[in-house]
Amino acid sequence: MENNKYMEEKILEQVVRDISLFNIRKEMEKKQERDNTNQECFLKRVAVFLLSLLVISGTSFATYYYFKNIHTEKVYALSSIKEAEESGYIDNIEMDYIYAKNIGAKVNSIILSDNNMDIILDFDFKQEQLTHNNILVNAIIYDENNTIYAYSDTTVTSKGKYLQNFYKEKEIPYNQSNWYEGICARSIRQNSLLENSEQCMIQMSFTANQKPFPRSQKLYITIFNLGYIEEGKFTSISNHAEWNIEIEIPEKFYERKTTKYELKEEIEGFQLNNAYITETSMTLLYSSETIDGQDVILVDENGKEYFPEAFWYKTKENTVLQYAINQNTKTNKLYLKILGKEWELVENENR
Amino acid sequence: MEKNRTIKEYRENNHLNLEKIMQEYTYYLSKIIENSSKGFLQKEDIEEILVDTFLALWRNEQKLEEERYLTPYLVGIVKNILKKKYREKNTGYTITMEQEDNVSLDNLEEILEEREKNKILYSIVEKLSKEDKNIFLLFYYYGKKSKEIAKITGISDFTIRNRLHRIRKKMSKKLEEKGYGK
Repeated sequence: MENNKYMEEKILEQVVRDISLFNIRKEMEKKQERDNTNQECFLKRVAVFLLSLLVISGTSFATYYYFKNIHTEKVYALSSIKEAEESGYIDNIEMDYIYAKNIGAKVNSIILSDNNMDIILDFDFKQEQLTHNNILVNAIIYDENNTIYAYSDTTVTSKGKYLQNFYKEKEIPYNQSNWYEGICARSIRQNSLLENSEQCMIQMSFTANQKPFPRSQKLYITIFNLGYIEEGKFTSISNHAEWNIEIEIPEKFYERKTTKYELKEEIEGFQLNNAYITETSMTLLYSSETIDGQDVILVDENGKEYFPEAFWYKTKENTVLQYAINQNTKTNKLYLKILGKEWELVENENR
Repeated sequence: MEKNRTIKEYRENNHLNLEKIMQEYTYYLSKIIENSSKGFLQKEDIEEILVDTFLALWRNEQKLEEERYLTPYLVGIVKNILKKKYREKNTGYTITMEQEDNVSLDNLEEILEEREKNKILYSIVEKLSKEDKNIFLLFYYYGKKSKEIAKITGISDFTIRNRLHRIRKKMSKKLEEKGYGK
């Protein structure tokens, strides 16, 4: 028996060591690839610069388009989303590219809570070289119940035609005078993380509207257009290609923790309609005729103050605020500080 | 060890609980290897095959069918590895096993090659101080961030990152010396 235990421990030690070494070497290889790409980019930039000098030094002063290799860090709507990701609240997805018209598309990762969603899309342009920067994705994202998470359409001329067709195909009733009613995401931000002639990675960040994102187990991403904006117009580079990607949402996302709050005592002239903290951030909805969003400060039990993020907004019913605090960073007691006075928030539900 | 558990039952937080699997299967698989090889393999060879088996399982974790039973799958991996090793030793010995699953490991060759590369770095890992080894494993096996490691060890985040940087540099240099670098 002792020998068995000894062998178990020995094997465990060796496996742990080898897995660690696999991981560190993979990290080194990725860094090497990035360095090689950067070196290539640098040489290409030098070549383009020299070429442009040649052209400019000639008699022609025609303008030219200069494709830049881009490699940037992720941008987060709130620092608390970044903190959540660093704590492991992200699902890195392993999948192969799906190809349409020689361009491959896949999802690299997803973060999903009641109020935030962040997706990294990865496009393979090895067969069809990428020649423009600031690529935008037009897509519709929905779940197994056909609840639309987001609809991104930068082709002004289409006037939401794809969305209308989607409703009709799926036989979903919709508001004829407002097609966008019922879509979960209020805001979508796109950020190019990587652009070179062979690959493009785009971060898409979504903030939920007044209702939380649902607890879906599958997400479907249909990308119906890729392109760039030039002189205010969207120019497609995908030649009517369409990619349909299905992803399984991991349990940690659909079983995620959200804590709801209410005020311990009423505040005159201020009606708290909803307040909840998720794995990524806090959303607060209130109505008031006299109190503006920037005057509603969240304070934790250590006295740390959280100011509402700059993108707060008002609807007919609510003022909607977001705070960069999440399940990991919140303290047991929280307060709303309005016009200098603090009011305690109490938990009323955990889901 | 319960022989009728599916792969799904060993998953926690979307990953296989490798430590639990090793605890339950090390002895069982070692006996299978020993019996199948009829004493041809030494103790070190058997340990080597066990490590290869669990690494192959780990590397293929995302491709596993959840409803499959783990035992025959592991036995299938062992058979693949044994076949490869016997081919190398050119013994002409025939392997017979019960309970094996039809396991196709198209990346087995790659996994075994990667392991050979790892061996180049074993000496560096062995020479790390206890503290540095702990940091190394917390980062590269347990996937902890430097801030979390700082909390666990009581060492500052900056020092943690510095030490990891030194370890990476040493390993990178070693790999380069052996022709696996730039």
